[in-house]
Amino acid sequence: MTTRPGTLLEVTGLTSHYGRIQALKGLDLAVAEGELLALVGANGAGKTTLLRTISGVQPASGGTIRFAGRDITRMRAAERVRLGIAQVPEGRQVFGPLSVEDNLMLGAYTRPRSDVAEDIERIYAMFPILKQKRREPAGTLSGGQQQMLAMGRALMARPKLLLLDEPSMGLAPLLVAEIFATIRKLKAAGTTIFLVEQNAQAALSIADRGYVLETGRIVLQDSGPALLANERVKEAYLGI
Amino acid sequence: MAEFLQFLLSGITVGAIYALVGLGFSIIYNASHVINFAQGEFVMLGGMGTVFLMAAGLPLIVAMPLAICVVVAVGLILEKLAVEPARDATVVTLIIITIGASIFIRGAVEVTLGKDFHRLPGFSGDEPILIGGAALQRQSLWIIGALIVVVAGLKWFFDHTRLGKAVLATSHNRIAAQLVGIEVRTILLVSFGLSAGLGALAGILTAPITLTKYDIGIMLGLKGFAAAILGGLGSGFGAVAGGIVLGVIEAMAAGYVSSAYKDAVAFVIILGVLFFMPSGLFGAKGAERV
Ligand SMILES: Nc1ncnc2c1ncn2[C@@H]1O[C@H](COP(=O)(O)OP(=O)(O)OP(=O)(O)O)[C@@H](O)[C@H]1O
Ligand SMILES: [Mg+2]
Repeated sequence: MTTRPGTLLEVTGLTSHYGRIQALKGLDLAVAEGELLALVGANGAGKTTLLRTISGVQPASGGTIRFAGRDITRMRAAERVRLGIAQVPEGRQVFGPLSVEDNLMLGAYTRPRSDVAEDIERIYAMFPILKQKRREPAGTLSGGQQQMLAMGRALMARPKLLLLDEPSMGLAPLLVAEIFATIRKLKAAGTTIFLVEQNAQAALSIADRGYVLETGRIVLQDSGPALLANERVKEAYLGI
Repeated sequence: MAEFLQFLLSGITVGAIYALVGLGFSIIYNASHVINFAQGEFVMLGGMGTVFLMAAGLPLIVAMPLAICVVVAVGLILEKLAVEPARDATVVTLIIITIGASIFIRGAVEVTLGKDFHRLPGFSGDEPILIGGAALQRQSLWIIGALIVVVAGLKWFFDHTRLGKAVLATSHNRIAAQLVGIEVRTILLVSFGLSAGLGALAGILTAPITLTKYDIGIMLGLKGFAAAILGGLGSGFGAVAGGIVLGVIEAMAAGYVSSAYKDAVAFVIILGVLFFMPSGLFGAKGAERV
Protein backbone atom coordinates (compact mmCIF):
# COMPACT_ATOMS: atom_id res chain seq x y z
CA MET A 1 0.00 0.00 0.00
CA THR A 2 1.50 3.33 -0.98
CA THR A 3 1.11 6.31 1.28
CA ARG A 4 -0.82 9.28 -0.05
CA PRO A 5 1.10 12.53 -0.03
CA GLY A 6 0.46 14.55 3.11
CA THR A 7 -0.29 11.48 5.21
CA LEU A 8 1.82 11.48 8.39
CA LEU A 9 0.51 8.37 10.10
CA GLU A 10 -1.10 5.44 8.36
CA VAL A 11 -2.37 2.39 10.20
CA THR A 12 -3.55 -0.66 8.24
CA GLY A 13 -5.15 -3.84 9.54
CA LEU A 14 -3.70 -3.24 12.99
CA THR A 15 -4.34 -5.90 15.64
CA SER A 16 -3.08 -6.17 19.20
CA HIS A 17 -3.59 -8.68 21.98
CA TYR A 18 -3.30 -8.88 25.75
CA GLY A 19 -2.61 -12.59 26.11
CA ARG A 20 -5.62 -14.17 24.45
CA ILE A 21 -7.79 -11.05 24.63
CA GLN A 22 -7.81 -9.23 21.31
CA ALA A 23 -8.06 -5.49 21.99
CA LEU A 24 -7.60 -4.23 18.41
CA LYS A 25 -9.35 -6.16 15.65
CA GLY A 26 -7.90 -4.83 12.41
CA LEU A 27 -7.89 -1.04 12.40
CA ASP A 28 -7.36 1.22 9.42
CA LEU A 29 -6.83 4.90 9.92
CA ALA A 30 -4.78 7.77 8.60
CA VAL A 31 -3.74 11.13 9.99
CA ALA A 32 -2.82 13.88 7.56
CA GLU A 33 -0.09 16.39 8.24
CA GLY A 34 -1.37 19.37 10.25
CA GLU A 35 -4.66 17.67 10.99
CA LEU A 36 -6.45 17.38 14.34
CA LEU A 37 -7.97 13.93 14.42
CA ALA A 38 -10.29 12.84 17.22
CA LEU A 39 -11.00 9.24 18.18
CA VAL A 40 -13.95 8.64 20.46
CA GLY A 41 -15.24 5.46 22.02
CA ALA A 42 -16.64 3.99 25.20
CA ASN A 43 -14.72 2.44 28.11
CA GLY A 44 -12.67 -0.51 27.00
CA ALA A 45 -13.11 0.17 23.26
CA GLY A 46 -9.35 -0.04 22.76
CA LYS A 47 -8.42 3.64 22.50
CA THR A 48 -5.49 3.47 24.91
CA THR A 49 -4.31 0.22 23.36
CA LEU A 50 -4.27 1.89 19.94
CA LEU A 51 -2.17 4.82 21.13
CA ARG A 52 0.19 2.52 23.04
CA THR A 53 0.63 0.39 19.93
CA ILE A 54 1.36 3.47 17.81
CA SER A 55 3.96 4.56 20.36
CA GLY A 56 5.45 1.08 20.55
CA VAL A 57 4.92 0.31 24.23
CA GLN A 58 2.35 -2.33 23.29
CA PRO A 59 3.23 -4.82 20.54
CA ALA A 60 1.19 -5.07 17.35
CA SER A 61 0.21 -8.67 16.62
CA GLY A 62 -0.62 -7.88 13.00
CA GLY A 63 -1.01 -5.09 10.47
CA THR A 64 1.31 -2.19 9.83
CA ILE A 65 1.99 1.29 11.15
CA ARG A 66 3.66 3.73 8.79
CA PHE A 67 4.94 7.10 9.94
CA ALA A 68 6.26 9.74 7.54
CA GLY A 69 6.53 7.05 4.90
CA ARG A 70 8.46 4.54 7.04
CA ASP A 71 7.26 1.22 8.38
CA ILE A 72 7.62 1.54 12.15
CA THR A 73 5.51 -1.48 13.16
CA ARG A 74 8.41 -3.25 14.88
CA MET A 75 10.46 -0.23 15.86
CA ARG A 76 11.39 0.34 19.53
CA ALA A 77 9.39 2.97 21.41
CA ALA A 78 12.36 5.26 22.03
CA GLU A 79 13.21 5.32 18.32
CA ARG A 80 9.67 6.33 17.46
CA VAL A 81 10.04 9.30 19.79
CA ARG A 82 13.21 10.21 17.94
CA LEU A 83 11.25 10.08 14.66
CA GLY A 84 8.72 12.53 16.08
CA ILE A 85 5.91 10.65 17.84
CA ALA A 86 5.24 11.89 21.37
CA GLN A 87 2.42 10.80 23.65
CA VAL A 88 0.61 12.30 26.61
CA PRO A 89 -0.45 9.03 28.21
CA GLU A 90 -3.71 8.25 29.95
CA GLY A 91 -3.50 9.15 33.63
CA ARG A 92 -0.64 11.61 32.87
CA GLN A 93 2.14 9.32 34.16
CA VAL A 94 4.44 12.12 35.23
CA PHE A 95 7.66 11.13 37.01
CA GLY A 96 6.32 11.80 40.51
CA PRO A 97 9.53 11.92 42.56
CA LEU A 98 11.34 14.14 40.03
CA SER A 99 10.91 17.89 39.91
CA VAL A 100 8.67 19.61 37.37
CA GLU A 101 11.73 20.92 35.57
CA ASP A 102 13.37 17.49 35.47
CA ASN A 103 10.19 16.05 33.97
CA LEU A 104 10.36 18.65 31.20
CA MET A 105 14.06 18.11 30.73
CA LEU A 106 13.49 14.36 30.30
CA GLY A 107 10.79 15.15 27.74
CA ALA A 108 13.65 16.41 25.58
CA TYR A 109 15.68 13.22 26.09
CA THR A 110 15.92 12.62 22.35
CA ARG A 111 16.86 16.19 21.52
CA PRO A 112 20.18 18.05 21.54
CA ARG A 113 20.97 19.40 25.00
CA SER A 114 21.56 22.86 23.55
CA ASP A 115 17.83 23.26 22.76
CA VAL A 116 16.56 22.26 26.18
CA ALA A 117 16.77 25.53 28.12
CA GLU A 118 15.02 27.50 25.40
CA ASP A 119 12.29 24.89 24.97
CA ILE A 120 11.63 24.76 28.70
CA GLU A 121 11.02 28.52 28.66
CA ARG A 122 8.59 28.01 25.78
CA ILE A 123 6.63 25.51 27.90
CA TYR A 124 6.71 27.83 30.91
CA ALA A 125 5.27 30.60 28.74
CA MET A 126 2.47 28.24 27.74
CA PHE A 127 1.81 27.03 31.32
CA PRO A 128 3.07 29.70 33.75
CA ILE A 129 2.00 27.65 36.78
CA LEU A 130 4.68 25.09 35.90
CA LYS A 131 7.34 27.76 36.17
CA GLN A 132 6.13 28.65 39.66
CA LYS A 133 6.34 24.97 40.65
CA ARG A 134 9.50 24.16 38.74
CA ARG A 135 11.36 22.80 41.78
CA GLU A 136 8.44 20.86 43.29
CA PRO A 137 8.21 17.09 42.85
CA ALA A 138 5.75 16.42 40.02
CA GLY A 139 3.77 14.07 42.25
CA THR A 140 2.71 16.96 44.49
CA LEU A 141 0.94 18.86 41.67
CA SER A 142 -2.83 18.87 41.29
CA GLY A 143 -4.45 16.77 38.55
CA GLY A 144 -4.77 19.72 36.19
CA GLN A 145 -1.19 20.81 36.75
CA GLN A 146 0.02 17.26 36.14
CA GLN A 147 -1.91 17.23 32.89
CA MET A 148 -0.17 20.44 31.82
CA LEU A 149 3.15 18.95 32.82
CA ALA A 150 2.45 15.77 30.84
CA MET A 151 1.61 17.91 27.80
CA GLY A 152 4.67 20.07 28.33
CA ARG A 153 6.85 16.99 28.66
CA ALA A 154 5.55 15.58 25.38
CA LEU A 155 6.00 18.93 23.61
CA MET A 156 9.62 19.08 24.77
CA ALA A 157 10.29 16.35 22.19
CA ARG A 158 9.12 18.82 19.50
CA PRO A 159 6.90 16.10 18.04
CA LYS A 160 5.63 15.92 14.50
CA LEU A 161 2.69 13.92 15.81
CA LEU A 162 1.23 14.43 19.28
CA LEU A 163 -0.88 11.61 20.71
CA LEU A 164 -3.20 12.69 23.52
CA ASP A 165 -4.97 10.05 25.61
CA GLU A 166 -7.98 11.51 27.43
CA PRO A 167 -6.34 14.78 28.48
CA SER A 168 -9.58 15.98 30.09
CA MET A 169 -10.09 12.92 32.26
CA GLY A 170 -10.91 13.71 35.86
CA LEU A 171 -10.52 17.48 35.48
CA ALA A 172 -12.88 20.26 36.59
CA PRO A 173 -14.80 21.97 33.72
CA LEU A 174 -12.68 25.12 33.85
CA LEU A 175 -9.48 23.10 33.47
CA VAL A 176 -11.01 21.02 30.69
CA ALA A 177 -11.69 24.25 28.82
CA GLU A 178 -8.10 25.35 29.37
CA ILE A 179 -6.68 22.06 28.12
CA PHE A 180 -8.85 22.16 25.00
CA ALA A 181 -7.84 25.78 24.36
CA THR A 182 -4.22 24.65 24.50
CA ILE A 183 -4.90 21.84 22.05
CA ARG A 184 -6.46 24.33 19.64
CA LYS A 185 -3.43 26.59 19.93
CA LEU A 186 -1.07 23.71 19.24
CA LYS A 187 -3.03 22.85 16.14
CA ALA A 188 -2.96 26.46 14.99
CA ALA A 189 0.82 26.33 15.41
CA GLY A 190 0.89 23.43 12.96
CA THR A 191 1.25 20.35 15.19
CA THR A 192 -0.47 17.22 13.95
CA ILE A 193 -2.64 15.92 16.77
CA PHE A 194 -4.34 12.60 17.41
CA LEU A 195 -6.77 13.18 20.27
CA VAL A 196 -8.45 10.30 22.08
CA GLU A 197 -11.41 11.24 24.26
CA GLN A 198 -14.46 9.93 26.04
CA ASN A 199 -15.61 13.56 26.09
CA ALA A 200 -16.89 13.21 22.51
CA GLN A 201 -18.64 16.59 22.42
CA ALA A 202 -15.52 18.57 23.24
CA ALA A 203 -13.21 16.47 21.10
CA LEU A 204 -15.36 16.42 17.97
CA SER A 205 -16.04 20.17 18.20
CA ILE A 206 -12.40 21.02 17.72
CA ALA A 207 -11.47 18.14 15.39
CA ASP A 208 -11.07 18.27 11.61
CA ARG A 209 -12.07 14.64 11.37
CA GLY A 210 -13.17 11.97 13.79
CA TYR A 211 -13.32 8.20 14.16
CA VAL A 212 -15.61 6.17 16.37
CA LEU A 213 -14.08 3.04 17.91
CA GLU A 214 -16.16 0.18 19.27
CA THR A 215 -14.64 -3.00 20.75
CA GLY A 216 -11.46 -2.79 18.74
CA ARG A 217 -13.01 -1.74 15.43
CA ILE A 218 -13.57 1.60 13.68
CA VAL A 219 -17.31 1.81 13.08
CA LEU A 220 -17.67 5.38 11.81
CA GLN A 221 -15.51 8.09 10.34
CA ASP A 222 -16.38 11.55 9.10
CA SER A 223 -15.60 15.22 9.58
CA GLY A 224 -15.88 16.50 13.17
CA PRO A 225 -19.10 18.51 12.59
CA ALA A 226 -20.70 15.65 10.65
CA LEU A 227 -20.04 13.20 13.46
CA LEU A 228 -21.45 15.65 15.98
CA ALA A 229 -24.64 15.70 13.92
CA ASN A 230 -24.71 11.93 13.42
CA GLU A 231 -27.73 10.27 15.10
CA ARG A 232 -25.81 7.20 16.19
CA VAL A 233 -23.03 9.30 17.73
CA LYS A 234 -25.54 11.58 19.43
CA GLU A 235 -27.28 8.66 21.00
CA ALA A 236 -24.26 6.62 22.05
CA TYR A 237 -21.70 9.28 22.95
CA LEU A 238 -23.33 12.64 23.41
CA GLY A 239 -26.23 11.55 25.60
CA ILE A 240 -28.72 13.43 23.45
CA MET B 1 35.00 1.66 77.08
CA ALA B 2 38.02 0.82 74.95
CA GLU B 3 36.33 -2.47 74.23
CA PHE B 4 33.13 -0.77 73.14
CA LEU B 5 35.09 1.61 70.92
CA GLN B 6 36.90 -1.35 69.39
CA PHE B 7 33.64 -3.10 68.53
CA LEU B 8 32.20 0.13 67.19
CA LEU B 9 35.17 0.77 64.91
CA SER B 10 35.19 -2.71 63.45
CA GLY B 11 31.39 -2.58 63.18
CA ILE B 12 31.52 0.61 61.14
CA THR B 13 34.23 -0.83 58.92
CA VAL B 14 32.36 -3.99 57.97
CA GLY B 15 29.17 -1.93 57.90
CA ALA B 16 30.68 0.30 55.23
CA ILE B 17 31.42 -2.81 53.16
CA TYR B 18 27.85 -4.05 53.60
CA ALA B 19 26.69 -0.58 52.58
CA LEU B 20 28.68 -0.71 49.33
CA VAL B 21 27.27 -4.15 48.55
CA GLY B 22 23.77 -3.02 49.55
CA LEU B 23 23.99 -0.01 47.22
CA GLY B 24 24.59 -2.43 44.36
CA PHE B 25 21.41 -4.33 45.24
CA SER B 26 19.43 -1.09 45.44
CA ILE B 27 20.61 0.29 42.11
CA ILE B 28 19.66 -2.84 40.18
CA TYR B 29 16.43 -3.22 42.11
CA ASN B 30 15.47 0.34 41.27
CA ALA B 31 16.07 -0.03 37.58
CA SER B 32 14.57 -3.47 37.10
CA HIS B 33 12.82 -4.60 40.30
CA VAL B 34 15.16 -7.55 40.20
CA ILE B 35 17.07 -8.62 43.29
CA ASN B 36 20.41 -9.52 41.79
CA PHE B 37 21.70 -12.48 43.75
CA ALA B 38 24.90 -12.38 41.74
CA GLN B 39 25.84 -9.15 43.57
CA GLY B 40 28.00 -11.10 46.04
CA GLU B 41 29.84 -12.66 43.11
CA PHE B 42 30.81 -9.20 41.86
CA VAL B 43 32.36 -8.62 45.29
CA MET B 44 34.25 -11.89 45.16
CA LEU B 45 35.42 -11.29 41.58
CA GLY B 46 36.77 -7.87 42.52
CA GLY B 47 38.90 -9.28 45.34
CA MET B 48 40.01 -12.44 43.55
CA GLY B 49 40.68 -10.55 40.33
CA THR B 50 42.96 -8.10 42.10
CA VAL B 51 44.78 -10.89 43.94
CA PHE B 52 45.55 -12.70 40.72
CA LEU B 53 46.46 -9.60 38.75
CA MET B 54 48.90 -8.66 41.52
CA ALA B 55 50.28 -12.21 41.56
CA ALA B 56 50.89 -11.72 37.84
CA GLY B 57 53.14 -8.82 38.77
CA LEU B 58 50.91 -5.77 38.46
CA PRO B 59 51.04 -3.12 41.21
CA LEU B 60 47.85 -2.55 43.23
CA ILE B 61 47.23 0.80 41.61
CA VAL B 62 46.93 -0.90 38.21
CA ALA B 63 45.44 -4.21 39.33
CA MET B 64 42.57 -2.58 41.20
CA PRO B 65 41.07 -0.50 38.37
CA LEU B 66 41.70 -3.32 35.94
CA ALA B 67 39.84 -5.78 38.18
CA ILE B 68 36.96 -3.31 38.53
CA CYS B 69 36.76 -2.98 34.74
CA VAL B 70 36.70 -6.75 34.33
CA VAL B 71 33.88 -7.08 36.86
CA VAL B 72 31.92 -4.25 35.22
CA ALA B 73 32.26 -6.19 31.98
CA VAL B 74 30.94 -9.30 33.75
CA GLY B 75 27.97 -7.26 35.01
CA LEU B 76 27.23 -5.99 31.51
CA ILE B 77 27.50 -9.50 30.07
CA LEU B 78 25.17 -10.82 32.77
CA GLU B 79 22.60 -8.18 31.83
CA LYS B 80 23.02 -8.71 28.10
CA LEU B 81 23.06 -12.51 28.02
CA ALA B 82 20.92 -13.53 30.96
CA VAL B 83 18.63 -10.72 32.03
CA GLU B 84 17.77 -8.88 28.82
CA PRO B 85 16.67 -11.91 26.76
CA ALA B 86 14.24 -12.70 29.60
CA ARG B 87 13.09 -9.09 29.91
CA ASP B 88 9.43 -9.96 29.52
CA ALA B 89 9.58 -12.77 32.06
CA THR B 90 8.34 -12.29 35.60
CA VAL B 91 10.57 -10.73 38.23
CA VAL B 92 10.78 -14.09 40.02
CA THR B 93 12.17 -15.71 36.87
CA LEU B 94 14.77 -12.96 36.58
CA ILE B 95 15.79 -13.44 40.21
CA ILE B 96 16.22 -17.16 39.60
CA ILE B 97 18.39 -16.32 36.59
CA THR B 98 20.66 -14.21 38.80
CA ILE B 99 20.93 -17.08 41.29
CA GLY B 100 21.94 -19.36 38.42
CA ALA B 101 24.49 -16.82 37.24
CA SER B 102 25.98 -16.55 40.71
CA ILE B 103 26.40 -20.33 40.96
CA PHE B 104 28.03 -20.33 37.53
CA ILE B 105 30.44 -17.50 38.35
CA ARG B 106 31.42 -19.07 41.67
CA GLY B 107 31.97 -22.44 40.01
CA ALA B 108 34.03 -20.91 37.23
CA VAL B 109 36.32 -19.19 39.75
CA GLU B 110 36.62 -22.32 41.87
CA VAL B 111 37.70 -24.35 38.87
CA THR B 112 40.13 -21.80 37.41
CA LEU B 113 41.56 -20.03 40.46
CA GLY B 114 41.14 -22.68 43.14
CA LYS B 115 39.60 -22.88 46.59
CA ASP B 116 42.32 -21.21 48.66
CA PHE B 117 42.02 -18.13 50.80
CA HIS B 118 43.91 -15.12 49.49
CA ARG B 119 44.89 -11.89 51.09
CA LEU B 120 45.72 -8.49 49.70
CA PRO B 121 48.19 -6.27 51.53
CA GLY B 122 46.66 -3.29 53.35
CA PHE B 123 46.76 -0.24 51.07
CA SER B 124 48.73 1.81 53.60
CA GLY B 125 50.43 -0.93 55.50
CA ASP B 126 49.07 -3.20 58.21
CA GLU B 127 50.16 -1.27 61.30
CA PRO B 128 46.96 -0.30 63.20
CA ILE B 129 46.34 3.19 64.56
CA LEU B 130 45.57 3.35 68.29
CA ILE B 131 42.63 5.54 69.35
CA GLY B 132 41.53 5.61 72.99
CA GLY B 133 42.86 2.11 73.57
CA ALA B 134 41.17 0.70 70.47
CA ALA B 135 43.03 -0.38 67.36
CA LEU B 136 41.82 1.07 64.08
CA GLN B 137 43.02 -0.73 60.99
CA ARG B 138 44.41 1.61 58.37
CA GLN B 139 42.36 -0.22 55.78
CA SER B 140 39.21 0.89 57.64
CA LEU B 141 39.96 4.46 56.68
CA TRP B 142 40.21 3.47 53.03
CA ILE B 143 36.91 1.63 53.25
CA ILE B 144 35.03 4.45 54.98
CA GLY B 145 36.61 7.04 52.71
CA ALA B 146 35.62 5.04 49.64
CA LEU B 147 32.03 4.79 50.90
CA ILE B 148 31.87 8.57 51.34
CA VAL B 149 33.26 9.17 47.84
CA VAL B 150 30.86 6.63 46.33
CA VAL B 151 27.83 8.14 48.07
CA ALA B 152 28.81 11.65 46.97
CA GLY B 153 29.42 10.39 43.43
CA LEU B 154 26.08 8.61 43.25
CA LYS B 155 24.29 11.65 44.60
CA TRP B 156 25.88 13.79 41.92
CA PHE B 157 25.01 11.22 39.24
CA PHE B 158 21.33 11.02 40.18
CA ASP B 159 20.83 14.72 40.98
CA HIS B 160 22.85 16.38 38.27
CA THR B 161 23.17 14.20 35.18
CA ARG B 162 20.55 13.53 32.56
CA LEU B 163 21.45 9.83 32.50
CA GLY B 164 21.05 9.62 36.28
CA LYS B 165 17.64 11.24 36.07
CA ALA B 166 16.68 8.89 33.25
CA VAL B 167 17.53 5.98 35.57
CA LEU B 168 15.25 7.45 38.27
CA ALA B 169 12.48 8.06 35.74
CA THR B 170 12.72 4.50 34.43
CA SER B 171 12.62 3.15 37.94
CA HIS B 172 9.50 5.16 38.71
CA ASN B 173 7.57 4.51 35.49
CA ARG B 174 9.07 2.36 32.78
CA ILE B 175 6.33 2.98 30.20
CA ALA B 176 6.45 6.76 30.61
CA ALA B 177 10.24 6.57 30.35
CA GLN B 178 9.95 4.80 27.01
CA LEU B 179 7.42 7.39 25.87
CA VAL B 180 9.96 10.19 26.32
CA GLY B 181 12.53 8.21 24.37
CA ILE B 182 14.61 6.63 27.13
CA GLU B 183 16.08 3.29 26.02
CA VAL B 184 15.26 0.99 28.91
CA ARG B 185 17.92 -1.46 27.70
CA THR B 186 20.58 1.20 28.15
CA ILE B 187 19.33 2.04 31.64
CA LEU B 188 19.49 -1.63 32.65
CA LEU B 189 23.03 -1.91 31.32
CA VAL B 190 24.09 1.21 33.19
CA SER B 191 22.60 -0.16 36.42
CA PHE B 192 24.26 -3.55 36.12
CA GLY B 193 27.58 -1.98 35.22
CA LEU B 194 27.41 0.46 38.11
CA SER B 195 26.41 -2.23 40.63
CA ALA B 196 29.11 -4.56 39.42
CA GLY B 197 31.70 -1.81 39.78
CA LEU B 198 30.56 -0.99 43.32
CA GLY B 199 30.57 -4.67 44.26
CA ALA B 200 34.09 -5.10 42.89
CA LEU B 201 35.30 -2.06 44.79
CA ALA B 202 33.85 -3.47 48.01
CA GLY B 203 35.53 -6.81 47.38
CA ILE B 204 38.93 -5.23 46.80
CA LEU B 205 38.74 -2.91 49.81
CA THR B 206 37.77 -5.67 52.18
CA ALA B 207 40.25 -8.29 50.96
CA PRO B 208 43.08 -7.06 53.22
CA ILE B 209 40.81 -7.47 56.27
CA THR B 210 38.50 -10.39 55.65
CA LEU B 211 40.61 -12.28 53.08
CA THR B 212 39.00 -13.47 49.87
CA LYS B 213 38.02 -16.81 48.43
CA TYR B 214 35.85 -18.14 45.61
CA ASP B 215 32.79 -18.43 47.85
CA ILE B 216 33.12 -15.28 49.93
CA GLY B 217 30.39 -13.67 47.83
CA ILE B 218 27.67 -15.82 49.36
CA MET B 219 27.99 -14.33 52.82
CA LEU B 220 28.90 -10.79 51.70
CA GLY B 221 26.02 -10.82 49.23
CA LEU B 222 23.65 -11.90 51.95
CA LYS B 223 24.87 -9.19 54.31
CA GLY B 224 24.58 -6.56 51.61
CA PHE B 225 21.07 -7.77 50.86
CA ALA B 226 20.21 -7.52 54.57
CA ALA B 227 21.60 -3.96 54.59
CA ALA B 228 19.52 -3.03 51.55
CA ILE B 229 16.26 -4.39 52.87
CA LEU B 230 16.88 -3.03 56.36
CA GLY B 231 17.27 0.43 54.85
CA GLY B 232 14.38 -0.11 52.45
CA LEU B 233 15.13 -1.75 49.08
CA GLY B 234 15.75 0.87 46.44
CA SER B 235 16.72 3.61 48.85
CA GLY B 236 20.39 4.52 48.44
CA PHE B 237 20.54 6.35 51.75
CA GLY B 238 18.76 3.40 53.34
CA ALA B 239 21.33 0.91 52.06
CA VAL B 240 24.13 2.95 53.62
CA ALA B 241 22.35 3.36 56.94
CA GLY B 242 21.27 -0.29 56.88
CA GLY B 243 24.81 -1.44 56.22
CA ILE B 244 26.33 0.56 59.07
CA VAL B 245 23.57 -0.50 61.50
CA LEU B 246 24.00 -4.15 60.52
CA GLY B 247 27.78 -3.97 60.83
CA VAL B 248 27.65 -2.38 64.28
CA ILE B 249 25.00 -4.79 65.62
CA GLU B 250 27.03 -7.71 64.31
CA ALA B 251 30.21 -6.47 65.92
CA MET B 252 28.46 -5.88 69.25
CA ALA B 253 26.78 -9.29 69.15
CA ALA B 254 30.08 -10.94 68.34
CA GLY B 255 31.94 -8.98 70.99
CA TYR B 256 29.53 -9.05 73.91
CA VAL B 257 27.62 -12.27 73.27
CA SER B 258 29.51 -14.73 71.12
CA SER B 259 31.08 -14.60 67.72
CA ALA B 260 28.99 -17.65 66.92
CA TYR B 261 25.98 -15.32 66.64
CA LYS B 262 27.63 -12.88 64.28
CA ASP B 263 26.23 -14.23 61.03
CA ALA B 264 22.86 -14.99 62.60
CA VAL B 265 22.26 -11.25 63.04
CA ALA B 266 21.87 -10.73 59.29
CA PHE B 267 19.37 -13.60 58.99
CA VAL B 268 17.34 -12.34 61.92
CA ILE B 269 17.27 -8.86 60.39
CA ILE B 270 16.22 -10.17 56.96
CA LEU B 271 13.38 -12.20 58.46
CA GLY B 272 12.36 -9.49 60.90
CA VAL B 273 12.22 -6.80 58.23
CA LEU B 274 10.33 -9.00 55.77
CA PHE B 275 7.75 -9.92 58.41
CA PHE B 276 7.27 -6.72 60.35
CA MET B 277 8.59 -3.82 58.31
CA PRO B 278 8.48 -4.69 54.61
CA SER B 279 9.49 -1.23 53.46
CA GLY B 280 12.50 -1.07 55.78
CA LEU B 281 13.72 2.05 57.52
CA PHE B 282 13.72 4.44 54.56
CA GLY B 283 11.89 2.63 51.74
CA ALA B 284 8.85 4.00 49.96
CA LYS B 285 5.74 2.91 51.81
CA GLY B 286 3.60 0.41 50.00
CA ALA B 287 6.16 -0.24 47.29
CA GLU B 288 5.86 -3.68 45.81
CA ARG B 289 7.97 -6.36 47.39
CA VAL B 290 9.25 -9.58 46.02
N1 LIG C 1 -3.00 -4.63 30.62
C1 LIG C 1 -4.10 -5.25 30.15
N2 LIG C 1 -4.25 -6.59 30.28
C2 LIG C 1 -5.34 -7.22 29.80
N3 LIG C 1 -6.34 -6.62 29.16
C3 LIG C 1 -6.26 -5.30 29.00
C4 LIG C 1 -5.14 -4.54 29.48
N4 LIG C 1 -5.33 -3.24 29.17
C5 LIG C 1 -6.51 -3.19 28.53
N5 LIG C 1 -7.07 -4.42 28.42
C6 LIG C 1 -8.34 -4.74 27.76
O1 LIG C 1 -8.27 -4.31 26.42
C7 LIG C 1 -9.47 -3.69 26.03
C8 LIG C 1 -9.19 -2.27 25.56
O2 LIG C 1 -8.70 -1.49 26.65
P1 LIG C 1 -8.22 0.01 26.50
O3 LIG C 1 -7.60 0.40 27.77
O4 LIG C 1 -7.41 0.12 25.27
O5 LIG C 1 -9.60 0.75 26.32
P2 LIG C 1 -9.91 2.31 26.33
O6 LIG C 1 -10.76 2.53 25.14
O7 LIG C 1 -8.69 3.09 26.46
O8 LIG C 1 -10.80 2.45 27.64
P3 LIG C 1 -10.92 3.70 28.66
O9 LIG C 1 -11.87 4.65 28.03
O10 LIG C 1 -11.49 3.08 29.88
O11 LIG C 1 -9.56 4.26 28.85
C9 LIG C 1 -10.40 -3.74 27.24
O12 LIG C 1 -11.26 -4.85 27.07
C10 LIG C 1 -9.49 -3.96 28.40
O13 LIG C 1 -10.12 -4.72 29.39
MG1 LIG D 1 -8.03 4.45 27.78
